[in-house]
Amino acid sequence: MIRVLVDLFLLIGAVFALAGTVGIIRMPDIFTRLQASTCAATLGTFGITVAALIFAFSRGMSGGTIIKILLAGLVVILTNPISNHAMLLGAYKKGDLPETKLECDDYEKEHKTEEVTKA
Amino acid sequence: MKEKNYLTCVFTAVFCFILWELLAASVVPRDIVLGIIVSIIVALFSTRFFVHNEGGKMWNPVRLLLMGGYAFGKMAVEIVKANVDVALRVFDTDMRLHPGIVRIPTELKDEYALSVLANSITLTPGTITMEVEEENGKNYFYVHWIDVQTRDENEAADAIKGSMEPDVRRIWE
Repeated sequence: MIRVLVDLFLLIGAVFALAGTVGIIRMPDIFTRLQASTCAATLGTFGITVAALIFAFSRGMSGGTIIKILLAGLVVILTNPISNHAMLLGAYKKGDLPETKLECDDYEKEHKTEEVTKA
Repeated sequence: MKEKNYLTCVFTAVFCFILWELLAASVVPRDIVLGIIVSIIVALFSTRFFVHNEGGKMWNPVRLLLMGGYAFGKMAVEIVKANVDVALRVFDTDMRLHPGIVRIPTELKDEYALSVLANSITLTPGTITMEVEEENGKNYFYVHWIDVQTRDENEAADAIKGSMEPDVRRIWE
């Protein structure tokens, strides 16, 4: 019974990790690739962490192992938004403009004057 | 400002030390002393990047409990919905991409609340916060959105953070 539960959560994690990976390969530019990678970092990590936790509990592993599993999942999920934000802003400021046309770009509109004075 | 920075530094060091103890799980004096030294060095280096007002605000247990409820309740629902949406897009033949950067207004003022909401938006697949900026006393998020449905500021704000903002405000302001 517990085995089925572990497999179920592993499957959920694996499916979303696969979705994130396929997204990174298929998406056209860095902006949308980062969006797809969030998939793997949130539900992918969550599923695999929960599966590992259930497995550790059912095998009666030590408290240290369980805490380490929890911390690993938490750290991946909590640090993901910060790196995503930094990479996106860095790519934008460097001028890595997307291949697919942006529907709208409010950021450029507001910051155009700065760019002009800098150039 | 100086004193607040100092307080933030202390809290960062304590947090680092707790993490160290959880991972190392040893009470040998050598390990503890090493942990304290490393925690203080890390805190001194990293404090300037952190939120500066009210260093201890994060450690209010009631707030942390409410935050846990928010993270596993409303935010989890949003994240699962967005995850399924992005996963379906990825496996679609044409990915229905309409990427764009939109500017959305927010009522929040507190730095903690702003950073929690910005990170919640980023953690939801399909939206990433690029920058938070203040303009005429009001804060704005610049959000890269994978599927721009509307150009109107308020409708976009509703679609992106509609259900999350009231909770964040209740907890952190």
